[in-house]
Amino acid sequence: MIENPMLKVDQLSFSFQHKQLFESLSFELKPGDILHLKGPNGCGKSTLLSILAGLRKPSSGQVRIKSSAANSIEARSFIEYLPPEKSGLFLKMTARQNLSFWSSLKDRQSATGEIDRCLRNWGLGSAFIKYFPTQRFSTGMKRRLALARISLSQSPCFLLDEPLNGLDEEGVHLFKNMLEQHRNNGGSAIVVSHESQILKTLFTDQLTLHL
Amino acid sequence: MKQTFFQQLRSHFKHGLSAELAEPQRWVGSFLFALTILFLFAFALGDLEEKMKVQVLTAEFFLCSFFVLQITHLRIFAAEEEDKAVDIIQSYPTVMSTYYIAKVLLAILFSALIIFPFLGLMILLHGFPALTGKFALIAALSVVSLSALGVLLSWMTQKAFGRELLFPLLYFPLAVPVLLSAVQASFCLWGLAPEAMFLKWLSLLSGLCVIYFTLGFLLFDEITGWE
Repeated sequence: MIENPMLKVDQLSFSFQHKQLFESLSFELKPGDILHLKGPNGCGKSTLLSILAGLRKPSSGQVRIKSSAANSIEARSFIEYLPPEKSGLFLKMTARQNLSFWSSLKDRQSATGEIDRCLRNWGLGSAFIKYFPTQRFSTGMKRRLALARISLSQSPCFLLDEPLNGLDEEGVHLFKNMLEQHRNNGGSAIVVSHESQILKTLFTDQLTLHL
Repeated sequence: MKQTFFQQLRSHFKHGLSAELAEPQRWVGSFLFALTILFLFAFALGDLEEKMKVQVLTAEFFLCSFFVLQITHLRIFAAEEEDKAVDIIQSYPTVMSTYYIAKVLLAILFSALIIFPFLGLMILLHGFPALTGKFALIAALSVVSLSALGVLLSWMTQKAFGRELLFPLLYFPLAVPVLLSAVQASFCLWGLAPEAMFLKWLSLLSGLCVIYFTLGFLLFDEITGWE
């Protein structure tokens, strides 16, 4: 039986200020695929991921997520995006409030117990962490919380831009477990990371962009 | 199951309210600004004759409202901008117009929390004759119009260079008709302009309110689609 692709990129091109970042890019992501997106700095990895997340318009070509256009509401319900550098948190709010909001937007209305369990799984379960504004978190703790948001969503497709940024050894281990479980559950992901050695056992394929 | 329009609106509003309450300095600062205006204008009033005093008080009220709203609108997306949460919102399956309405409601709520106590103090301290339903209607329509406009422009200029300059440049010319009709309608109430003109100025104000809100509601989804 032929599996329907989770994500299909067809003849995708993007140019920015007269510079062609990538041209006629085509690939598919099937359930269970974990794609390693790599390449030198400035080659367009983050741009490609933001196009797949529906945040940028490509110069040409198209992206379909489960047959829907990438910027449609239907497509957005299947993906979970982690931006580079920043973690997409509301810094004046607590970890609990952050997770509660994001899960309500995905119509998951996660119970407090489920959110607390997720925070515990990511090593963010202490009272201090749960009830204090996330602006007091270290970079690694913010990244853990962002990854907790992604794991709580149970979306079938993850788009992760440098997920290991700021993570310590334990955080990396937790991330690997999350990604492995996601893959085993039939989920797929595209991971932009320069730490390819750490995650190489999880990748099922790789795509290299060039300058 | 997807969230309905109202469920999404509720999620955005509830979360926005928590975000605003988590940063009380944002609206406390605006309230202190309003108190400063009140204090400074107390000197300007002096021994003015009653007719002139009402004119000055009307100007004081709308001047203060204009700046309080401008400050509120300029910061309305600050919580989302801090750590790029705005990118995540745009990648989520949410109808962006629910986000717009929630932000307009929050802008109205927090502006009203400053403007109406300020108005109360003006009535108490300076005897501003604003304790009428008609003036409350003028004030409410002005706040809604300027909030609908301000939230839209704030979002449009969010990623622009020199935003602090660009926002007032766009906001000011579009806010002038609202302020003009609100001031003129108020003058009709105080007998400083023909009473027959009241409904005409109020209609203009209501029209602007509908136009700005409809524009914001329809355009917000369009301008957030792609970067």
